Amino acid sequence: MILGSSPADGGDPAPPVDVSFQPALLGHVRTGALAEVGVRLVSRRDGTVRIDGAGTGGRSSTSVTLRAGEARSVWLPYRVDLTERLVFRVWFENAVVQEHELRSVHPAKSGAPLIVAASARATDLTPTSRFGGIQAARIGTESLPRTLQGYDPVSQLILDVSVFTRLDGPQLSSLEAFIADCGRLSIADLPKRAKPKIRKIAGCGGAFVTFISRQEAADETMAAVSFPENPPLPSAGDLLALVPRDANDRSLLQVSLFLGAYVLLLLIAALAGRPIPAMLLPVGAAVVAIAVWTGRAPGVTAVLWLESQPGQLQARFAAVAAVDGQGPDKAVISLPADARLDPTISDAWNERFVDGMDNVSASLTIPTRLLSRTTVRLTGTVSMIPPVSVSATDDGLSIRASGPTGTPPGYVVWRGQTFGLPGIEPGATWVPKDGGVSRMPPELRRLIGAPARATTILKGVSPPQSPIGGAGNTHTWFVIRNSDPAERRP
Amino acid sequence: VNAARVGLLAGFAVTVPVAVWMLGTAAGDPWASGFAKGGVRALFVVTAIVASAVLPICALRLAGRALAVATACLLLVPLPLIVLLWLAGAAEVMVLVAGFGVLALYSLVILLISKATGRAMADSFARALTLAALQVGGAVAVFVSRHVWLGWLGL
Repeated sequence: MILGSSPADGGDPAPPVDVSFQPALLGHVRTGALAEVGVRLVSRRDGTVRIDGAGTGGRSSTSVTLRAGEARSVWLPYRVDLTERLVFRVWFENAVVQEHELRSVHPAKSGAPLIVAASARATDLTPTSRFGGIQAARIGTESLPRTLQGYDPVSQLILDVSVFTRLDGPQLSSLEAFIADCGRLSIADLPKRAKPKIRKIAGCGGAFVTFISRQEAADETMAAVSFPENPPLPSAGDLLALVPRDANDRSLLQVSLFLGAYVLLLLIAALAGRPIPAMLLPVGAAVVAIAVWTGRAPGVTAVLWLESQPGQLQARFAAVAAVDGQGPDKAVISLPADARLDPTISDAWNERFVDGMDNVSASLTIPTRLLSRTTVRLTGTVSMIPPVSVSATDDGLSIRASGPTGTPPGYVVWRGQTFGLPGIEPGATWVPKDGGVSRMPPELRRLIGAPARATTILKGVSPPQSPIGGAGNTHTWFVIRNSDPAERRP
Repeated sequence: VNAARVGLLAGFAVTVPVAVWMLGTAAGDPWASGFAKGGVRALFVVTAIVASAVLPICALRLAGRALAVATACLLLVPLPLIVLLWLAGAAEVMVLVAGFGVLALYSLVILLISKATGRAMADSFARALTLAALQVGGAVAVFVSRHVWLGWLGL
């Protein structure tokens, strides 16, 4: 469904680029959450189109490479702020070719869940349909999101099995990411043979995926299906507490030493009482300050926290990049195109690039200053199979390195006790020994909680494609939880 | 009286407390968000107050080149701190230059009034009283009106 577009001005009857917008989920959004809008572009000339995100003042943009006459579709995330107009600005050849205000949005009531029921059957989408329960927003397959951000407003997704044959590639990938990210999903009438595949990609041990019948999906009480509380990923502060951050302390020490030396020289000059050196000293010190603290690259420390279960194909992640400025400069951080960024940075530039092969890359440019500190947190999912298989029964625990390479050391929490886990060679197995009890750093313990069953923590295991790039130093923790993912955490 | 020494020590009295405040705030603020702008505001206010207190005495005791050296030293000593605060993102260069210009202008006005007072009053007691009033009045005025003139500067 194309909701229409309007030319920027009436002067050019044939703008060089035709643009039309289509919000995902038929415009159902939640205030403060991310949402997705699809954009179809057809250009009369080769070139690059830039689309500035709504409400960002040009600080969030997507650039798309276009060929003359070739239609392209891209899907843009935007944060829903209904206090302002949702206006997207389309640039081509350094001129605005279109401004589009997104008016067809339906915000969910504050505090109310947004239940979305998707089906490819026309009868499920009629006004009299009960599919998904009476509270559900009923949509067709084509309105399902194509990015993980597009699922951000969804409290619960109910899918009829008919949608699976109609999903395009981006929809399938984003649905897999939604499931891996512990999204609440009910699938009606899924054949028995397909269930193991869903379980294999489901995050949180599959606690948030249910298989139901169409009869159950049409039940008025569908909305009342109670899932456990979604386990939160660590906050930025919790993650940064795991690593030493000395870049900013070092800068502060350097500035302190500089000022201390300057004060000492001032006293010496005052004792000497000579006018020319007295006036040259401050000027010289100012020149030295400019020379020392301009053009110094900022220190970027990244912390990556991955959570998965044994055998799961994707891991959820929370990543934090701490940018410590050491002078006027900028830090460029690359991130996954479908990562959800916390809306905390006001002066950063978030840019996405879609090349001619539909590859999407994203980066965040953060201006820095002397002693400035900026923290970026993002969450999402990443393809990664745990490098260990964990067997935890009432009789005992064993951990085997199941990957092609050995595993780094870490910890295992089992039956309320913490064991230091040594590095394991490929194919080798480790079992806890009496007296092998270890202490976990309190910052890590706080995040792990007190799991009822086995939880393995590996330090320094990175996914094949790291979700965060451009950091000088990345600290990674990979947590493999055998336990009920929905159990209470401290 | 050694003009350079007077100017350096007056500048010292401006720079050291603001530098200590700046470093303490930067160290204690985990996001380092407000120290730069606060630092430059404090620096301009303290410089104006110290100029109000010191320059009338200098005007009484010094003359010509010596008075210029003392005033220049007082205004130049905080310069490295201003540069550090600019590097920390306190304000645009032009704002800081304008602030520096305002301080120089204010110092010139203080000096001119002090000189005029010194010439106009033969009685040393009355002259001392008038200069003391000028010192206290100037310091209080720049402090009380700081939001106004810093606002003009965009700080």
